[in-house]
Amino acid sequence: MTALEIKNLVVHYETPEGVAEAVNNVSLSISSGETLGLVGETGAGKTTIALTIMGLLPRPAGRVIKGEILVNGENVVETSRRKRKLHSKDKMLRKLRGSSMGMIFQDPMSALNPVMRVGDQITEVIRLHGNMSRSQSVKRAKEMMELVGISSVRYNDYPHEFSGGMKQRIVIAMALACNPGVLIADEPTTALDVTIQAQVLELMNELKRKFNTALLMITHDLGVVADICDKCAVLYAGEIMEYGTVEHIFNNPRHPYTLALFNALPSLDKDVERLKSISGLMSDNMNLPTYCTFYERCDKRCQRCSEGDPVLTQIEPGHFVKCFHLAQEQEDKANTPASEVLLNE
Amino acid sequence: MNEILQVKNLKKYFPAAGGTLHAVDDVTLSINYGETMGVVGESGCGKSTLGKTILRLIQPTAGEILFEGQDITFIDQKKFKALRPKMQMIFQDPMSSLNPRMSVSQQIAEPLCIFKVFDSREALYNRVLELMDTVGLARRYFDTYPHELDGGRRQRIGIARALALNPKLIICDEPVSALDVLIQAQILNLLQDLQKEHGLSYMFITHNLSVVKHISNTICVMYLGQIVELCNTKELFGKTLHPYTQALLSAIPIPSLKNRREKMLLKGELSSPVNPKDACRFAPRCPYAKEACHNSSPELVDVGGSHKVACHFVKEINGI
Repeated sequence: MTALEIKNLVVHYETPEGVAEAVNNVSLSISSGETLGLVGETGAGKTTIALTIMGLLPRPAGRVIKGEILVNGENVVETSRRKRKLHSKDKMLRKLRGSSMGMIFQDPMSALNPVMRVGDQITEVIRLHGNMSRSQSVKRAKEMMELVGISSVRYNDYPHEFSGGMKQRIVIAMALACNPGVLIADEPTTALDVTIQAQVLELMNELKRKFNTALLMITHDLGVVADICDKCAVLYAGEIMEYGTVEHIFNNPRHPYTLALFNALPSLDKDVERLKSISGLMSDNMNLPTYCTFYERCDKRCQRCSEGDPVLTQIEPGHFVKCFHLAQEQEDKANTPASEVLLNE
Repeated sequence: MNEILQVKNLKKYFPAAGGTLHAVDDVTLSINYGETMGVVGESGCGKSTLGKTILRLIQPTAGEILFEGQDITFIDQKKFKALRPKMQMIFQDPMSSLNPRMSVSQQIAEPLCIFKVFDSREALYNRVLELMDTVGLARRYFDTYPHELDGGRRQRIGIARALALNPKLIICDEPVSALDVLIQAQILNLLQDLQKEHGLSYMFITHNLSVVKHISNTICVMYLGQIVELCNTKELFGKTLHPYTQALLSAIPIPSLKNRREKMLLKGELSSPVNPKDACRFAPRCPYAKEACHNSSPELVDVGGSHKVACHFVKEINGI
């Protein structure tokens, strides 16, 4: 069952300097129990997508221009500018946040209230969405703490009394307290050390399986994606460049940008004398080109790439790439008569 | 003499609530000319303190630091100033290590002005341009300020500034941790090119084992202020001996599906470095810990081929 579906999402930030096109025509879907990894560099629009789903875009700068986000089949975004309508969506979102969708933020210290006991912070979520009495909520909060590996005797401690990894566990407990169908994790382990990261990822994976949650994992670390995701979308300058199962992305990456990402990583298994990096920077999203956004940095570019913007094309079942060259290849293959394919093989 | 830097039994203790915090405890290592020593460990293991203590940005508590054979552990700041140009540092976060109110050229020129390297403004100007070319900063950034640049370019200013006085040793404290992978690759390549061209020696402090593997000749793994494993890079990744290094290696998410493997998950977290007991500091999290581990601290011993490990049961665990 599809738990979260994003259709043709376009998000702009309207600033005094101009309009920043943060997300351009992004479509994704995640089923229950599935994990989708969203990877990209700083400024690719990963966090904007997460904030849009949660209805937390900074206002008035951030605005959804186009598109739909369906959480359990209900559209949660409002593209109209009229205030009254926004208000109705706001009410709806307030209900959905916490109960149908939860979010884990990157920095657990700033996600927790420093002057409130951690137990009360978990209880608060349950009180608001769980439809339970006070004592039941406290009991449930204690259960959640035990579930994420923190003894419930620490219910009355404050966030500063916990280490980074423990705080992140508390945040996970809060996000999952009402058993939401969709969990959005925005760089949940970036602030943590590797051994703690491994613990937290293991915990998230385990809980996801237990609650059959759809997980949107936002990260810049391809290693994390390989570890726990089922599907992966590679984001560049607000657009999806490549989308497929992790097998597609890791065993058969096709888009020049995805390949560049893999080549730039120092590897633990192979000895590489020199890393391959591409020059230049990501296109400024205040001034995006009308042609392929990766054109300037691409080693396969040709004239066609500077004339039009490619669309996301399926090159094998479930594997999509946004590149003229690969789309062309696919077309050629399709046009080749079956007899020739046999001959070539 | 092969070693540019020798550190012997270096200790740095800080007074802390309830006792002394052993940030760096009995660290002994050496770096050869033109080579890179990688220092890895999790946050709080004392790797940054080690780097800063070697450069005397923090005063050591005890031990010995020899730079090109000269003992610099406790020499006074005036004498030390003459040595400063030879040893420089690149910091992690370029935004907080650069002065926001100085332009790119001013930042790079500052060390040259302090040490009065040039008499004429023109010579200084030319040297700054030369340095900007060396690190790949376009000349149009000459008069820009750090906030106008992206992270990669800011880090290049930090590198240019460190190179300004032709140092021999550069201590790089997490120079690429704040950068995206494509930029990280550019900076790592730059550092390697500079090493070849200028014969630099690096001490490369990072928490990222794959980066350290890529750039280092020798690696030193630290845990709570102490070295737990020290050997050359090939040996470490071919034959990991200390259980902590094994766990660290297994915990790294690898961007490949072939390696989706069972992880050696460590339980718990770093124990407190305040008043540590005379015991193996890794014992509380070690899956192989026995009674002896909780009663005495293991020495860093050579197990052959200059591979040093601090573990009581290294032979039993690895079957050697």
